[in-house]
Amino acid sequence: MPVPRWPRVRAGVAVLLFMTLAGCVGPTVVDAHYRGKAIESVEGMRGVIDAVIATVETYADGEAFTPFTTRLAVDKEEEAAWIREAFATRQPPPGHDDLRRSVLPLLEDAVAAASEVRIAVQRGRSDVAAELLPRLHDVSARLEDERRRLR
Amino acid sequence: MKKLLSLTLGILTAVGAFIDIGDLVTDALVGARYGLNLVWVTVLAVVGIAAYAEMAGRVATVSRRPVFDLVRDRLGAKVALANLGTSFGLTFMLLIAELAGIALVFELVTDVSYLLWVPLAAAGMFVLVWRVPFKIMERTYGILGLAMLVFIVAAVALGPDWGELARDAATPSVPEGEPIPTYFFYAIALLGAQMTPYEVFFFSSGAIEHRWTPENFTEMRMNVLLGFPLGGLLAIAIQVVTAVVFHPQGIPAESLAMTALPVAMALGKVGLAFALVGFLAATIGATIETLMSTGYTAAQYFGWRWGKFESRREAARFSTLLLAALIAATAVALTTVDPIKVTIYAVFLGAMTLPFTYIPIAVVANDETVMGEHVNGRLANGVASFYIVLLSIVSLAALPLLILTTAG
Repeated sequence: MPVPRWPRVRAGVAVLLFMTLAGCVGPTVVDAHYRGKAIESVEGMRGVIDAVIATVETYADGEAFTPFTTRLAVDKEEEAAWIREAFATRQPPPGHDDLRRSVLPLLEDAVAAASEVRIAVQRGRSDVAAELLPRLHDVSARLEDERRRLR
Repeated sequence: MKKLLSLTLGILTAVGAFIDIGDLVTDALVGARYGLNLVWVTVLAVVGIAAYAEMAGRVATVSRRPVFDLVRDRLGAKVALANLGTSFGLTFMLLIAELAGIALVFELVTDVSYLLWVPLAAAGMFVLVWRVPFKIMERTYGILGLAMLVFIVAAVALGPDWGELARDAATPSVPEGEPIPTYFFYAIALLGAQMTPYEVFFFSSGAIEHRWTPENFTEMRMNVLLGFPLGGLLAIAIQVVTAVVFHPQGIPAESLAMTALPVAMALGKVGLAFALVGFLAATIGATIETLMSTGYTAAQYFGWRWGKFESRREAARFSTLLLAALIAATAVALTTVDPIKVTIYAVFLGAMTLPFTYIPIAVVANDETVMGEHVNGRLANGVASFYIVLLSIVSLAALPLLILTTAG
């Protein structure tokens, strides 16, 4: 006996509609999700900055070629900017503006530090890159403090 | 002496076949993220690929028929065509990734965008595949691939706590804070990277191209039983250096540059130069192998004349397909699609289709009417059966894990 086709189609449309609406209204306004995103951004940014530190230390010690270091610095700056953008453009749920205010400047500091490293390395100035190390360590430490606070 | 040289070079070629862009990226990624908690996957992959490459080489040598010809025989034309479509698609994805990989290495050396290097890399591949003799081609990248040994030297130079690393490797666990599905997502990606079907297509097609007979079994087995484990050792060395340098600080390693950075930290510019030469050899070798494999799979299924030793006029469809694949891969790579993402998707999707490549090989290797006295023994059948079950589970789990973890 042939199976009626329309009930299947209607059920399919209903499931699609439910999934679409759930996707639209679900995650962004949930408090825990926003906090989770903040933690993820801080952790991700700390990883990027620690990678920049390792890169600069290696370059400053004369252990890596300038083109190689430049590519690493460019990649890390782009990753940092992407993490900052992904968090900055997310709508905070009501009552979470403080969280945004504490995390976003940190992410912006990190991007600025990564950019300065890229500029120095692209100019072949390992001495200038090395001078940025204390700042990078400071950014990394502040990100770690923030991560602990949020956890 | 000549035989010993040939044997050594064959082993090096097998090492080259094992380490490609998929390995370079995935090994560093899992080492940085999971330490040595996924080394067991590499061990599994090495045993599996060695066992199946030996079977495929033996089948090709005895039957004088390549893998896809036998697959069509066993699975029927329609199922085999679906299998061909999947294998061809995945090998093509890897070809894009390997070609872009060559360009990425040049980018690291020159700081000129990899997009400008892609057409030059493709032109170089054209010259290598169409103009350079097969043996010179595979031996050159086999020998240059020795530069990858720098990862073992770097691992020693970094002076890690070997006891702790051994404990991590021997008693694997999911690191704290890491979701379990993501751990298994990367386990499957690593398995897919290290058991890529094109390695088997290339190896068995090579057996026919070299006109191996059962007298060459020792040479073939030495290539497989030494080459792939050596490749596995290099893969573990990459996992070790990234585990030691990046894992404790939670630094992700998701690029070729990050794979090489620990070597620079341990051995300076000389070590870095060796690593980059090794990357170049690995990606050039893998580009040649994936390119040839796209031609092998289609030509073997459709019964066209194929092979590097055939004249272009006699194997016109095979040669045209290779050229079309190279041009298409170049065009896709130039769309600015992220080569590292293509690599990760290719190795993961490859893992989903592993049973479709490996099951027919096991079936034919166990067929006495084809293999005669060279049919699988108990040990080979035991290993083959274990991997059929394992790869089937991997294949079934792959898609849900891909969705659940949003690709890691």
